Amino acid sequence: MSLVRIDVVNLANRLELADLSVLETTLYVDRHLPLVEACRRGERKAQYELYRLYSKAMYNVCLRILNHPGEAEDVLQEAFLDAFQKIQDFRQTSTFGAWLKQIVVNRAINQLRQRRVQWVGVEEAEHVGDSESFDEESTSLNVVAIRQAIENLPDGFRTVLSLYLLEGYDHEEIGGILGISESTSRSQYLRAKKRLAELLKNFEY
Amino acid sequence: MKKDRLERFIRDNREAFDASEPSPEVWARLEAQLVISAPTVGQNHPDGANDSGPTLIQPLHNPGSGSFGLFSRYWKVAASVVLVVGLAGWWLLRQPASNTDAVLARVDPQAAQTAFRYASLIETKRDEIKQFEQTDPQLFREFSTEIEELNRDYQRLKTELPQTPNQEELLRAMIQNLQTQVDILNRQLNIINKVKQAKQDHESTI
Repeated sequence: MSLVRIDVVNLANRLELADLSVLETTLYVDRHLPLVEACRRGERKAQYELYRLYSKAMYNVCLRILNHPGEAEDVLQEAFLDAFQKIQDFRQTSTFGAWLKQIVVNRAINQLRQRRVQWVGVEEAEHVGDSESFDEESTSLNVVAIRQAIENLPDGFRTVLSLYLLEGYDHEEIGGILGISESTSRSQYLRAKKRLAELLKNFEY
Repeated sequence: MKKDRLERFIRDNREAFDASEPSPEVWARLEAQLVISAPTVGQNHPDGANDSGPTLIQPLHNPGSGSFGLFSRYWKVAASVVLVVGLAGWWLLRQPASNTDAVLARVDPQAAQTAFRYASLIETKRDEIKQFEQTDPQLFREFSTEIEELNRDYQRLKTELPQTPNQEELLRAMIQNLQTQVDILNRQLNIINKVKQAKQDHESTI
């Protein structure tokens, strides 16, 4: 099918980043382009199909940011409505999934701001020791424990850590999303990871 | 920056972190909102070339007082709200108990169709067997308790459907249950036919 296309987004930009795993994620094929086209024509079936394909992943994004199933569902619903209504604006400079995720993340963060979450500045976060590093083999890692520990992080830590570790944004992008500096994002992330290590240790006892 | 153990672990197990499912009501609410906002989607333009929503609706009459014209956007929105609310009310009044059918249709429309086909098949077969009630009441009772048991299981699964975290698996169980019912009914019909045949043979030999 001729509609399948390979988009290389900001490849030149990304090449400057040393981390090669970031590079991998910029090469992709958007399988769902025909669905997006049908969605543009307002076809309900295509809308349902896209919802079915993406709702679970997007719901988990909301849930990680908001830590509240009811609020997460509300944001999910609003974000999809927003996406379907603005689908004419989707210019295919990224995949539909990445575009949708941006809407979802922004809406979830806006919702979170109503709780007056503060992302602390650099000066407060200067002394981030690596004392609880994950490189030591003493703590065994498992998905359920990590998910639980992430849920127990304070709002500010949880969002920065999720955006970086699970949603795959870099600190520059996180800074843009949260309206903080890149270095604040970085230090917040390190502090969040330290707290996570403590929580995981406590779970073991 | 080198990745530490945690970062590598999460990267390698990324899928397992998306474990939660939104409830089916989210799509229901979303769909209702999409219906209300449908006029801006522009079905009048099959080429999909329209860019902005609001300019799509052109007042057919009295272009001077567009905002009060019968065909203004707000009237359309209001009319569709009334229509949706009315239809929803009518639907709820007519079918107080079968809310899960709607859930089924939302979870997987294709599975809902399959389930519906099986259900009607089961009904016709059960009717066929029912004609046999007079000739052999005891066998008939045995046959129906067998099916009744499966049917109870099916109803229980159905009531669980809206809340279960794994709807696809539950759906599979539901369909499998219906298949079993059809299977058993077929075998029962076979037995009935054999019994009938044996009786006829017996009578003809006397």
